Amino acid sequence: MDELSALIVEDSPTMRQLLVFALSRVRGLSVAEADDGLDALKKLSSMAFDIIITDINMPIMDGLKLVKRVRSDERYSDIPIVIITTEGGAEDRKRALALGANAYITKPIRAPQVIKTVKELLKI
Amino acid sequence: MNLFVAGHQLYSTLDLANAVQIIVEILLNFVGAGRFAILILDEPSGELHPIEAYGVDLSSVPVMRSDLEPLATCFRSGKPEVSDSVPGQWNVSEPLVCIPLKLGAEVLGAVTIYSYLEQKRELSPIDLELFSLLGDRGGAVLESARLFASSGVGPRTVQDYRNLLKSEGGHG
Repeated sequence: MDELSALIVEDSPTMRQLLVFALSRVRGLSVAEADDGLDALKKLSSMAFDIIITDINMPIMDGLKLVKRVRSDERYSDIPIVIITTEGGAEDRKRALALGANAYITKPIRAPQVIKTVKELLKI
Repeated sequence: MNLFVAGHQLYSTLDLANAVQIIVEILLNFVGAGRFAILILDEPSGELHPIEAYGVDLSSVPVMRSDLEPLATCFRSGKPEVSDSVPGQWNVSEPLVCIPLKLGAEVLGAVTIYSYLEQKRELSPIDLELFSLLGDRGGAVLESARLFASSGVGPRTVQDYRNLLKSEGGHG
């Protein structure tokens, strides 16, 4: 299987580490990290990714703006996006899905749930 | 995996604000706690004062006594106390969970959880293990950060370590 790559966009080091550990267990998937939406856009411009997993609430550029920017750029428009939300994020969730996110994961985060969602979207 | 990451993150800093933030993130992201507070014991008075809160105004979290319920039992046992009931209304005076933050056998503070995220239906065995982890390590992490901040630490030298080992009867 060709190597696939995931971009995790999360400002919390604790959450980022959990997501990295979880996705590192998926065979054939390499994982890169970004601190916020702007950092993610920089990484997208320099490397190809097969899936993006992003938090919503982040400084500098939040997850909703990132989804919008990614979907409006034809270079990235086909990349599946998974958003991570809290309970108060029902509106954010609807908005992100309306903007073009493909799936969402709610907190508390469990590794098997993250792995399952990513594998489904990558069809692996 | 949540336990490993939580443990790893707890010992990743000597900065008090970072240490508190890591505890908050573990409770929110790994446990799914929606409203909670971190309280620290003021030893002279025996009172626990809130130093951080999530989902609830810090000023609304009451000062509590370590020798009175709801904290007394968890202070005596040194183990997390988890309420079986899940009331419809949350109340800062009646936490659902009390986690003693320990340094060895000594309790330095507590985490009190008042409610969970809406989608959190029940506690899992991992949640209980996370409570124990926070209890067993949380106090040590906060105390280490407090001591580090107040120590006026300069550049680390090998001699510092040798002096400490000698003074503690190690293999200096």
